[in-house]
Amino acid sequence: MPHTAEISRANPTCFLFLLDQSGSMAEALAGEAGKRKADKVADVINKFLQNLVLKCSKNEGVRNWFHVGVLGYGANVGPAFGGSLGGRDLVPISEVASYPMRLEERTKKIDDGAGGLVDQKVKFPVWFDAVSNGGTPMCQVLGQALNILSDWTSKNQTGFPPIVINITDGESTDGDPTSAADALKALATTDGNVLLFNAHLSSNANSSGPILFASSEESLPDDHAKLLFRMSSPLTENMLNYAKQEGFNVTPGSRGYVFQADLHGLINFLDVGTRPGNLR
Amino acid sequence: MRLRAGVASRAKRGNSVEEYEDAFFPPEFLTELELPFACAVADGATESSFSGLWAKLLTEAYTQATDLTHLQQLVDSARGHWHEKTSSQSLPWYAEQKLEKGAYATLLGVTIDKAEFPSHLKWEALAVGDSCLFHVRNHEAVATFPIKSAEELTARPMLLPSIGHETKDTSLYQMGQGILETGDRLYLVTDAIAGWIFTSLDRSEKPLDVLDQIVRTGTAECFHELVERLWDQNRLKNDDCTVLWIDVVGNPM
Repeated sequence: MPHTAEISRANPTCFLFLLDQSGSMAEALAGEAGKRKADKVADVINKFLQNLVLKCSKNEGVRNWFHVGVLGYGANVGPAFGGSLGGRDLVPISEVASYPMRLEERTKKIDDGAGGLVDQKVKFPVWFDAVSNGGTPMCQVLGQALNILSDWTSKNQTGFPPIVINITDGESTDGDPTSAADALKALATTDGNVLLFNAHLSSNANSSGPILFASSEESLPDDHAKLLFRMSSPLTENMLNYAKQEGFNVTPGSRGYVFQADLHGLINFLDVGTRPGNLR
Repeated sequence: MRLRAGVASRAKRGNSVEEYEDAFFPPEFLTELELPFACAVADGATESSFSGLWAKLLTEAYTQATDLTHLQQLVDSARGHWHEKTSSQSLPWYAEQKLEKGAYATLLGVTIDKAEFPSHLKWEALAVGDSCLFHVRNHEAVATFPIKSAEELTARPMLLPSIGHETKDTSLYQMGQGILETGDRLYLVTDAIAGWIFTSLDRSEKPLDVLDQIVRTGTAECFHELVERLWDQNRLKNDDCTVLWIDVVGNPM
């Protein structure tokens, strides 16, 4: 059965984010006035990286169960990490842990033990900042991802296949990305093909609300949404089972495509392939 | 009747001995045990840090406890010990945040004592999570606790945390008991071995006879060979493996 490989230091897997950094990412997300899409996405991915580091942190240090990368695409296309990791595409998670660009101090609400909430200061690592400038060269970034993951899959032939998460708010400005997406999804390890998931953040609200893990084009509001849906990989069997356990309405045709959904929902979902049963 | 106990363990493939995160108590092969005799195994969760230490503290707590209330007090004390041993002034940000999340482990403890009627012993067991006891008589499993089948072994077992405090709610703890006769054996195993035993029994194989050979040889090498062979055959989950056994032998104590 594909997409079941054990994830270990000897047999790692990887996550690659493709992050739309076009000018329109400076707009507010539908229904969330005042919060720029670019800021929200940067927060969510930085939080994901933080959680992934914590997942891999053990007594002796951070185990390299994952390699992680973030490619931005807007006025420029390429690695988005800042600081010491600047210019690097896929980075072992132990190095991600060691080299955040900065550690911010933020506050979070915690239970005060008496029915109320109090503020607690927490360290929030930041690996890259929000950027919003230029067009949406999706074909170009998919091409870069293809080169990076061709190399990775050839070096990690028995690994759990890479998961690519494309987060975008607009239409590709350098052509139809379908063939570039197909080439990326054709890459494989012995455990299955690369998975491409798309998170679509429109500035226009969908009349029927967010869509999570759509199973057909019919419910999608426009041609661009339908294109991104067709580019998206079906959820694996383990992911479908997990989604059902968590109460999502999924069917065997459900794909890794979300429209206007809470990004935390998508990001949490990436936990599926990396649950304790798979980690060694 | 007399009791003899022994134990065999193996760290998951790809990990060093130091990275073994199961735990067991008593720590070595024992003969001529006194009643009541208490022993335990625990399985530290892969995703938590210092879970092997937490598992070890839990097994020690169980073997010192006189009842569930006492155990809960000892588990709370163990939380303090875990915190003392893992805290340091200069941890990197991720180690600091990981420790705040605590460590997690299963616990399976068994106490053997005289039964209410002559010439028999009884076992009483306590479990949190999916470490499992097999009560074997004449090569057959006459009881298992708390897991009854391979289907019950999920990736998300109940676990005891090293943070927080015990409450009056004891529903996390499952209880079981049984009567022992001369010649009986109890196995306390962590989930990977339990999974292999259940699936092998489902296939009408004789995993308990295979384990019996390990007990008879009494060598760690034989257990390691078995585990390696089962891993090679994809018959056993790549996880830390622990088997603790207690034999009821000889005349009444």
